[in-house]
Amino acid sequence: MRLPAIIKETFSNLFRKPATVKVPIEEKLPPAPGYRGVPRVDYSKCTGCGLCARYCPSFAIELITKDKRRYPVFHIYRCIFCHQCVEVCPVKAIKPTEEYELSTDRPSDLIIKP
Amino acid sequence: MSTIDLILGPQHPAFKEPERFLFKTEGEIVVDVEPRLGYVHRGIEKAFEMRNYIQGLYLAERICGICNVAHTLCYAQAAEEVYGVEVPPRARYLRAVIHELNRIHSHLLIIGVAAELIGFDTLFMLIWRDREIVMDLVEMMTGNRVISAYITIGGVRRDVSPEFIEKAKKMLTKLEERVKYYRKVWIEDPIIRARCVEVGKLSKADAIKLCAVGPTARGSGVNYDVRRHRPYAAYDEIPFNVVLREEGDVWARVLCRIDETLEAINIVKYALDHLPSGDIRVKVPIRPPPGEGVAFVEAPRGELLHHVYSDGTDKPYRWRVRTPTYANIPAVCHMFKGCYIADIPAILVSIDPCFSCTDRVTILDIRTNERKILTWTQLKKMFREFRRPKA
Ligand code: SF4
Ligand code: SF4
Repeated sequence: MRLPAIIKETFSNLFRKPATVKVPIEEKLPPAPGYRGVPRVDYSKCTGCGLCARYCPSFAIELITKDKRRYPVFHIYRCIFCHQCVEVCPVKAIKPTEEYELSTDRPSDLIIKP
Repeated sequence: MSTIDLILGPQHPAFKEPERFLFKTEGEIVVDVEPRLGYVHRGIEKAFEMRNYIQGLYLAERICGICNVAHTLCYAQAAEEVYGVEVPPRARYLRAVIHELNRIHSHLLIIGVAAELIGFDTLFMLIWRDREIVMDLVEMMTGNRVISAYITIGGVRRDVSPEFIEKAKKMLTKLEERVKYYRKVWIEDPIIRARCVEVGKLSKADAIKLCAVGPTARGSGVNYDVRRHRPYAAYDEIPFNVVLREEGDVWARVLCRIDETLEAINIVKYALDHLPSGDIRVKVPIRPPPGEGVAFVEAPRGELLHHVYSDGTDKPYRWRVRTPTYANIPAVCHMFKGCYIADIPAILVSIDPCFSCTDRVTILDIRTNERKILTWTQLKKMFREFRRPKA
């Protein structure tokens, strides 16, 4: 009888390092460049046009009025990190970031407002 | 002999969309099966009508996380038909690339799961380890491992760099070697053959009669592939083979997927080598003209259809989606007839449904009204310990 092909592979794996890494205790895996993380808005550039709120697929952007002009407020806990807002902003006020570690015990950390 | 009803689902790890199946069994043999669909009706089609076309793109992506590219591609093509825009050639090639990368990762996932379900955990772990190669590629190309958000109406959202192409080709060559090895294991291994050959037979005539799609049909020798017969993206310019197997059992359907993975790797390499230059997207306005659009796409699981009606406002009037697993339900019900209870998971997985987490099975004896509840682990254990009688 021939030995099944998997046997050799199984034994060679006995002496290999694990393919997994212990995140985040021993190692942190950086995301690939261009990873879609939290969108961060620069309020000094924003004109309050409201396009980002109109296109956001998960209704994570709310427009508020403050000092007689409109500002977008980002509810990051609803965000699906699609970067549609980055794409539509006419003055490039929204900057894409690669942040992905968002767990927090204060929900207010997840609201970006002016 | 009286029959015993065995209820699987609706929450069952072997289904993509939770569905309830009622098996009528005589001893160990399934004699009849009644599916009941619609348990997780999520109202997605109605939700499309509440969103504009761009927002709908991200909703379409979430119909199915694993074949998300197939859904966005189909959505975008249907919408493009309404808008009447032509996609630039570079975008058409990039769409084929991401579509095939998505197919590779979906197929490797289900091949691994099939190995796990027949009790071959080593193969499952190894395949899933090597699947990371293609996940990393998707992340480099689109910015996320699974939900790629890459295709948009009128083109694609990001371009690829020459460094990416170099790296991708190197990584894919590595993956190809591994997949070839798994193909050898799947063909030769005695345990796999004992579990899968001649299980869940679907003849070619039945596959045509029951309108099976995708690898389920191609595993029975039905030569139908949307990429070949209704070319979209760049498939009319890319040479590739439609993988066919004649056997029509669980083994052939999974082998069909392994061969399709190899074929997909070649398609990606060819498309990256022959990438035309130029724009990657055309901008579309928020409001399309009134009209109608239909698009077909060969998703990893089979033929997928999106159909849209536009009344000229920024939101679609009606959006209709037909997914491949739905089309394969009659075929899988046919396969169950005459199989052993212990073969149910293997047959289910061979049409490539999806897996959630935990489930239980109620075995209900109608005569005595006695209920037996099995957890998924117990069912799996039963499946593994069960030995099929020698023919
Ligand atoms: S990334 Fe997407 S979901 Fe998040 S705020 Fe921007 S548009 Fe909305
Ligand atoms: S699209 Fe840009 S400019 Fe307009 S409201 Fe949003 S952030 Fe401000």
